[in-house]
Amino acid sequence: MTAVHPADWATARRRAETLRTRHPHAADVLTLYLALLDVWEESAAAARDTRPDSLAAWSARHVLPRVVAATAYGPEPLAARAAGVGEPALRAWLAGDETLGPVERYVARAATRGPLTAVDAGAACAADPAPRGGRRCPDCGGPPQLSYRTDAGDRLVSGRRMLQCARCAASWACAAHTCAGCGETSRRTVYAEHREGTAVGRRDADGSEFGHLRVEACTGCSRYLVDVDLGRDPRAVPEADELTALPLGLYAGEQGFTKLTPNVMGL
Amino acid sequence: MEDTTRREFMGIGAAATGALGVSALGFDLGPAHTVRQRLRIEGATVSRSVCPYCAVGCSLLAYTRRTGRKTELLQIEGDPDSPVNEGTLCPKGASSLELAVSRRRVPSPLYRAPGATEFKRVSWEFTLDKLARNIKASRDRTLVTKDADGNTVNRCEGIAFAGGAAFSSEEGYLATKVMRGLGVVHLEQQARV
Repeated sequence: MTAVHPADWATARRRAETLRTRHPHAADVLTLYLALLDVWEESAAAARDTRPDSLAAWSARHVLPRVVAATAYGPEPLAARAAGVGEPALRAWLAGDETLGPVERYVARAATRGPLTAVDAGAACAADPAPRGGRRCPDCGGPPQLSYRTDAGDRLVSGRRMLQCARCAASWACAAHTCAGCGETSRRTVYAEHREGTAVGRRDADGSEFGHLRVEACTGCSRYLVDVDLGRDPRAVPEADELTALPLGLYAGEQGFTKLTPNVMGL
Repeated sequence: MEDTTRREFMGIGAAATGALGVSALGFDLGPAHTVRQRLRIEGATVSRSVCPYCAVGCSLLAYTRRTGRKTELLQIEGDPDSPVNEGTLCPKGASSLELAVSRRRVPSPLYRAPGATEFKRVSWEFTLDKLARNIKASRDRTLVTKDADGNTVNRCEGIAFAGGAAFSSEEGYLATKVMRGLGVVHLEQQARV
């Protein structure tokens, strides 16, 4: 079970507000994310108190209407179509169903993200036959959404590489040289903003626009995910910062790579 | 490698929609495309390596970029997954980057002839030949065929060999074979890797 401290929601909110000012290209996405953060925080607290037997049914009844209302801050077509999504989509998402359409998936993710941080995610996703551990979430078996490096507090020390679950947002350690998609341990390529010169250890973000973000791509399976380096920017919140990495994702797409798991905004 | 699942196929579909300027959920991707066009993005290959200095054998992650036929070292950092150093680098290990990129690195052998006051640049062919001749001369000059009791020993007492910390098992084996072939008995290895 992943416990989210109330301060974490506030940190994510502050970070998203900062990023929305700094990255106009991601303003729409971050506005919707901020609206969803409120829903997630309150639904997590409610789920913690209620301990629902069926998370899908409980979320459909108590969280889904709020997600639909928050989606009014997103693109108009999405807000219109979100209202038509119901409990079956949430149940399918928790069971690892891969056939959900983009809107159904968005609503299902948004409606279960908060409660899943407050209940036993493993039990809530028991219907998902995906393996636990390794490159999948050890709690719920969900796929990795993003990668991040912990901040070791010293330039000559590299922090552990962690993966964050796309479903319950739990984090787990995964070897830094291993592809989170196929497990390949060689032929890994990272794409990042150009920097002059050479470096030892972790560089500072040095004011560059995406200094702490990079694309980790695998030439074996042609997939990638975004890596957030907290050693370069300790104030970063991986889930929020990843939403701003769309330009890097577009570049990865040009190079023939496909994102391992689109984020909650489908990007 | 796993096959592409339907979930990933949906992701591909979303990306394809994005190429048209609007994401699958209706977000305008135009501003992101504009940012992408002005960004200078570069790729680097990540490889694992081992620090060449002391006997601890710290693991490194090396970032390299290939430009034409030349491979350029961009960055090194401690490997966080190594049980030996757990992502750390000591100042000396950190300086190993200089082995590859230092402007003061000597790019070719230098030789100062007996009586000369200056080093001059020489070829590797000359250097290896000179080393071989000097080793052969030292070995011939200091080879002891019998000890004080008349036992046959055939040992070279004028050459000593010290193996480096980053020697692999195979390199250590080869070095030992070569040195024993010359009769060298003062043989030491620091290898721990």
